[in-house]
Amino acid sequence: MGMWVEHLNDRQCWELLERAEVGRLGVLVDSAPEIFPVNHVVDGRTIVFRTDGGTKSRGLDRSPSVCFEVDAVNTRDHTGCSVLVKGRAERVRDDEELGRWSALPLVCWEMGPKTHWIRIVPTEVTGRRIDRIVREDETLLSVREG
Amino acid sequence: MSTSGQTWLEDLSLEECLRLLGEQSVGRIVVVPDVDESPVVVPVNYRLIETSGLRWVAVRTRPGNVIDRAPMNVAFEIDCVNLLEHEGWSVLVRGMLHHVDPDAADFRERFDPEPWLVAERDSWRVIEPFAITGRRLHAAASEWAFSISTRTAKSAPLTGSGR
Repeated sequence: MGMWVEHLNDRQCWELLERAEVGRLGVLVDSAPEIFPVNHVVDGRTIVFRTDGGTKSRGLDRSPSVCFEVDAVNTRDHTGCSVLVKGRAERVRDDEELGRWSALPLVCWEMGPKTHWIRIVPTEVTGRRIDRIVREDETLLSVREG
Repeated sequence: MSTSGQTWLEDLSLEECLRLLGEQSVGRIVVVPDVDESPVVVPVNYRLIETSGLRWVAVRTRPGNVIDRAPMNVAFEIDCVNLLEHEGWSVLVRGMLHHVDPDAADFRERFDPEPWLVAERDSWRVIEPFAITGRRLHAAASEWAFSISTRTAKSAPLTGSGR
């Protein structure tokens, strides 16, 4: 197609994944795609987040093939980059691992009686520069400073 | 409305969702490129279009990319999250993705009235929503636990331990 796209390397992808405070989880719920903002942590080369909702947990059990995306926009020149992780979602059941994260103030977008911790094990991580993603509200940057 | 120790969630009305959609210009779309493939999330420029009693989310894309080739069933999301304050909101649009005829006489007027500096090769798809929902995330504060909510609420917030 003659378009030049700059791809981020692995290190750049994981740096962005670690710096981003929020990512978006793409999942199938009853065979239809849905997308949710998720407050995550990077653990080794996996993504971990909390869900308290029954619907999403059941959806993940049935369709563990998910994606997780983070992006950042440079407000000076309106360029940005986006990292997409495709992978499998697994419940974290190891008590020791759960102990590590339960103290973290991770925000959860659903409420329910039980907290589930989900780990996304990547099968593919790609990152690219995106151009002309214009933000009118510049406070929407989702990348921590410094 | 439902709660946990530190935060509580409020469902947004349709009007509130539409207001938020009208105010933003960047969102993320999720498509499933093919059966048995994993979903793909892509950040996109978008516009909420309300015309002739119809409502669309117009999404800017490039010919041949994953959105342009996507099957019809999609979801789209915008959000604003302030983790420090444990506050934020998100709006989810579920719908069907359609092509737009860029040669239609009123295309520019309806979908791109203030064109960005874009190359001619950009194309547009529109999402015809069948569901628009949203939530607002609130930080719990101990004084809220005993306030009388003026919103219609199914239950009052539980007493939180505060932040």
